[in-house]
Amino acid sequence: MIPNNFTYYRPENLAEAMEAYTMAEKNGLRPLYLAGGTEITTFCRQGTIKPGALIDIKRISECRCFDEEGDEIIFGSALTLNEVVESNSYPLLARASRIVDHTVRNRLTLGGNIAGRLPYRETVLPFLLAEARVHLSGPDGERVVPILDVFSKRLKIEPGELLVQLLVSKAALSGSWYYRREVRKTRVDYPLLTACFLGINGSIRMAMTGAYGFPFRAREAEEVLNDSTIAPAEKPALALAAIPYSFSEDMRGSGSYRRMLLERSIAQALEKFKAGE
Amino acid sequence: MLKHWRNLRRENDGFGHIVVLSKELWKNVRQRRISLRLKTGKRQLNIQPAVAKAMARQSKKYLMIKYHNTVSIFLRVNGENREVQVRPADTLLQVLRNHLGLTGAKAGCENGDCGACTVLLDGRPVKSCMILAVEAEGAEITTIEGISNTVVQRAFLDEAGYQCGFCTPGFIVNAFALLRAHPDPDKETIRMWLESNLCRCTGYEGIENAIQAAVKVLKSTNPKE
Repeated sequence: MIPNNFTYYRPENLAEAMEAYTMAEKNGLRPLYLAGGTEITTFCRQGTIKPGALIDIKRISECRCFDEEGDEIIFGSALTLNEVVESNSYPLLARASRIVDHTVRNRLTLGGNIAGRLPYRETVLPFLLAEARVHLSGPDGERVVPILDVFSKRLKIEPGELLVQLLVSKAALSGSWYYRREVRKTRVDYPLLTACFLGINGSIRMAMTGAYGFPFRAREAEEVLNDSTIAPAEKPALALAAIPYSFSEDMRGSGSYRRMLLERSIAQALEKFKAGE
Repeated sequence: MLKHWRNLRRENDGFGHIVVLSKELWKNVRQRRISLRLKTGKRQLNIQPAVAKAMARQSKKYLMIKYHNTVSIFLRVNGENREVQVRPADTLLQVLRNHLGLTGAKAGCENGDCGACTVLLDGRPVKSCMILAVEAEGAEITTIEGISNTVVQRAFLDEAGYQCGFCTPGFIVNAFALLRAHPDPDKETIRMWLESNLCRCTGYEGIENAIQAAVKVLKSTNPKE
């Protein structure tokens, strides 16, 4: 049971959503945008969050959009992860979206996963690698910006802004990729490590989550992986050394265990890309 | 009467809906000439979503649903329209069990982990503890009560795909949706779908046998189920 009451808005378009946000904010209701609701309903039940208003974005056509425009594919933020998996239009994203369990994936949305409070946010990794653009809408207007400009460990957007769409260049979709997800027991569990690699324009890109407590694009490690002067056998250890963060330590796994898993994943990815050349 | 959309004005119908009414329409509503629900003696009007949308289109204005406090909504459950009074914060599971008497969906973890509360929303299995009842407005909701006497349910009985039985409704609903989507599923597909549900008695072998038995029956009889 969710103990606290809130106002529920169901806008049909972005203008209404912004009006609802402005109205609720003006009334001191601390509004939140609601997509699949898997996190929000759980946190509300636990009392972790107490929003005064929820704005349901699932009926907004732009947020449910799955389309092609020019040389980009558009993913609406309210697409469920099962819809993304079934479309398979971006194979790395389809693979990275196979998280939690099948039934929850019928509700969990791309936008909710990327903008959520849980630290993993695994579906953002393919977008970081593809250097996607994000369409944001806020009370002050709309903007389309590179995801790398607004995602640093978490999505950093203005108050009231809504993640509407993610736009991925078709060129990124055709790149070879490697994906590794390590869990403690069942695959439904949160990850000890999720690492994604994308081969594009002759170089390897790498992004990960779980190992360091937040998702990020590992640019420092990429420089090592793409440095032809370094022997392939030395690259995994040097790539790890280049990453300026500390490994997570929790009940799921120690930092040294995560280090081992990540080093092994990098080695496997290099093998795969080498075989594919 | 819907042609007269001059002098639009907003009204709160007392149930939390914000509606946009012309003076003409409001007059007709007050005089009960049109088929909108009106509570006698009170200035309370309950406009069903389909009507509200039509009104919005007619007015060429937007109409956003806004619910606060207790609201009256219609849910389509097992093929029937049911009117319920809910708080926006009520989960679908609570409303099914406590307001509509459909106690087949079980409140297990209420955290989206166990799957005992699984129902179908437009044919897709979802965990009703993680959905607000107001979100399910306009969707076709199917609970375990709506799929009684099906091949899948009989297979669970025949193969003893249960132990204490608490998780069984969730498993049957999920298996029902699985066999609709994949009439001849391979082991990996069955595993992927059923990892959404937990059986604390660990009676997984019986459950898997029941699903295999249902697949066999469906193959031999080929009903649309």
